[in-house]
Amino acid sequence: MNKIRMKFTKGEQVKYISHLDLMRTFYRAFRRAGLSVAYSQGFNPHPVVSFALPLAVGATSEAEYMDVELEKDLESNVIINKLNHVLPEGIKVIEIRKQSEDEMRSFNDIAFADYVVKAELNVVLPHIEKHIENILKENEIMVEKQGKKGVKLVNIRDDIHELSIIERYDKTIVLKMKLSAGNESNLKPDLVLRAFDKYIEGFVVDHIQVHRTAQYFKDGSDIMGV
Amino acid sequence: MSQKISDKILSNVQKPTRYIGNEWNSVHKNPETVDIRFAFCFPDLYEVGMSHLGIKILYHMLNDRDDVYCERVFAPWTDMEEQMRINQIPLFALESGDPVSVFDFVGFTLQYEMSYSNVVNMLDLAGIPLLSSDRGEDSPFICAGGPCAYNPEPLADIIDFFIMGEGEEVLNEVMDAYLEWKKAGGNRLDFLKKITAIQGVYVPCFYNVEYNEDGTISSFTSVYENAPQKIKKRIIKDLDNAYFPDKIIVPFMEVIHDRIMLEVFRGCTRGCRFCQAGIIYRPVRERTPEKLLEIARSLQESSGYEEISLSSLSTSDYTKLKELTDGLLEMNKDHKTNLSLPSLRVDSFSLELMEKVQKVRKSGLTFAPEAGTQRMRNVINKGITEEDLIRSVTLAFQGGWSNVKLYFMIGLPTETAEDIEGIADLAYKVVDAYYRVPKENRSKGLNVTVSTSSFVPKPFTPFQWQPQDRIEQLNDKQNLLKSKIKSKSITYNWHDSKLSFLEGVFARGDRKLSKVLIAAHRKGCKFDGWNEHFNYNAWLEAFEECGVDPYFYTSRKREYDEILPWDHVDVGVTKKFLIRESEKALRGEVTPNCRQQCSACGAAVFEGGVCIE
Repeated sequence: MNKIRMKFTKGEQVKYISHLDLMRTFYRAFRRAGLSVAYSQGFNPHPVVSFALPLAVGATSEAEYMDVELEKDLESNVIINKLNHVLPEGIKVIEIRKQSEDEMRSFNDIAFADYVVKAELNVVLPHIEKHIENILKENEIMVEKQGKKGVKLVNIRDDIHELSIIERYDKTIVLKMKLSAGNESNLKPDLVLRAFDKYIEGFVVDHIQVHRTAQYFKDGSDIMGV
Repeated sequence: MSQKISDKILSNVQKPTRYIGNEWNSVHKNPETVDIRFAFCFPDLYEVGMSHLGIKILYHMLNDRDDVYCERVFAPWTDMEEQMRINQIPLFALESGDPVSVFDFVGFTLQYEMSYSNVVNMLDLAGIPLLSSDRGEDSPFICAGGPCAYNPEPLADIIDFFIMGEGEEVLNEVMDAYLEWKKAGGNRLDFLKKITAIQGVYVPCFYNVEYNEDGTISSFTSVYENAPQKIKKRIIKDLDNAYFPDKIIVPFMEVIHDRIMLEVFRGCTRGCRFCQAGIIYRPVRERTPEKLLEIARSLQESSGYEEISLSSLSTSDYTKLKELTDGLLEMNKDHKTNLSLPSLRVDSFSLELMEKVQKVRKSGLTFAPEAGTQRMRNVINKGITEEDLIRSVTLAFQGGWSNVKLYFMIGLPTETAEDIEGIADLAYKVVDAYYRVPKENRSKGLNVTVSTSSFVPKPFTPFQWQPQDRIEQLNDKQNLLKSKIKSKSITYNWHDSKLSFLEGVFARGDRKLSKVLIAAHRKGCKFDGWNEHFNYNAWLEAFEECGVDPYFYTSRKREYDEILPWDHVDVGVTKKFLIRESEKALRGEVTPNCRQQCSACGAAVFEGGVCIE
């Protein structure tokens, strides 16, 4: 069993490609690298690959993860070199960890993600830090969320674990946030911004740029850890 | 990082991947280090253009030269166009993001007539004057090639020069001529004059067309003494030694043909009388299986594609098909690559091949009898009989297929109601053939799909003199066929006859149509091949405004001695042969294919392929 876990980045050049496009890009990169991916047995064999949390189209990331099973056992740095040689600009494998079956911790256990969000506002808001502080003091932050069964009102307060402004210039603010992520509860950064839209007078977002910086398991441990 | 379009715009359009480039194997150069910048334009969406083999070949061929930087340009979808116009972003090239107006060449590939309005719209988006005569010394040279360029006249006022035939050699010659011209320091006209010396290059402004009172052409003369009276197409004599890239771009998004396309041969030996491709690509030239396997291997390694398909006008006619498919299947085993087959003539060989390739999945099989009666099939020289078809479908049904598609054309010359009814009869005979196969030997769920397209007479075919059915006639025929098909097992699909009508106008059009194109563009016509954008009434208004009668091009029977708008283009196949074929068609006589017997069509002048075997 040559299962490996890989950490990779998704940069500016490829931020508009969808999750499906990204998966296809990896399948083909493995083929170009001459790394044979193990195929599932059965009626319709498919490569044994699984991706952690999909990233929204338009967002960049320095902490994406995937598991893949290779036919051959190779050194981690050999795999990294081979892959990075044939991956399009903007996608780069930065870490590989080989794992045996019992060490594997499922991507299903991912619970949090960190983001840096750059938001361009329509106006300069001088007291924005104070406003955000006040919002976070609330027990409820209600936002309209597009679900499968239509729009519904949800409370996102419990899914915001950390939030602060780390930079501010002109009409631009840069926020750092830790949000719930994964199967149990998942909050997208743009929804947080939409809440500000509603709670802070004059807060109108012109454009946001999301960058994911980390993902964690429930107990706060690293995805690449044991 | 080459992306110059703001995130605000890209995050507000559908499928932004269409506009970002940076795909694996795309070529990036420093524009400062090259002599020539070439914008290769496909006048349709990214996913359509990226499925086209020609652009893949020529893109890498040009970029293999150190002195040329070739970039790709596709038509932006309407949501992107709106954003571009609001934000004053001119048409840009995918690799550098630079506006195409700064390029030395802007080259369009003309794959179908219904993309002409996109050519005009793209020039407009680029801020390049629409008329050739309005372009100044700073403008790029606008050129065009591809199958529709064989009748260049509807675009004669818009395109600076056309390239007739296969581009692998002639494009390089034009690039070399440009370098010489640049060095010598001439003006725009000097360059256009210079390239008339290259075989296959047509510069429309060097020719003057006079018309008779009835609108037909009275004379076509060159006004520049060195411009040739006849422009002879270019072909690659030996495909094995022709340029073929060892890598192809791998798009991020799924495109229509998202796989390696192996071009098995060019041309076709069959000589179906409605088929333009069968004439203009003559003579048939094959690649050897060894060469094809070599190409397949290198493309697989450089692209990582998991699927290979075979491409040609009639892959069943490839003389080494078994050798090739055996080799590919053997190679694919190691690479876990799939072979996807084109629609092959159904016989025991091809069914066995399909079993091997597709394993369990039995998707639909396609048959193209093209016409409903033997008489009609003889007229169009489609060498297939009812017995052939029934034998083939029976084999398919016995092999477990239960889903067949039958392609037909309506509006063919000499067609009567009997021929239309014959389509329904044939479909019923296919249904009968299914039920004749014992229940235990066939799959459940018979589905016969009958599709009719409307015949559009094309230049350089034996039917180029024939009138095209009017919209009402085609609709009547479609309705007649609908009324004859009552079986639940048969589904009938048909084409929009209005679109076929417009296609017919531009297929056999002359220079007067350039102004109609521009008028239609001003009325917002674009993406005419896309149902949701085809605006028939806007086109009618454009014809009206320009005082051009579209029926002049479609509904009129032309005489053999009429000067046709494309007569100055020499495709090798002679008018004498086309007239002979036209006469034989009317008598219902068939002509054997090139391999059975040479019919002296004239293509032998190129001394290639089947003509010299």
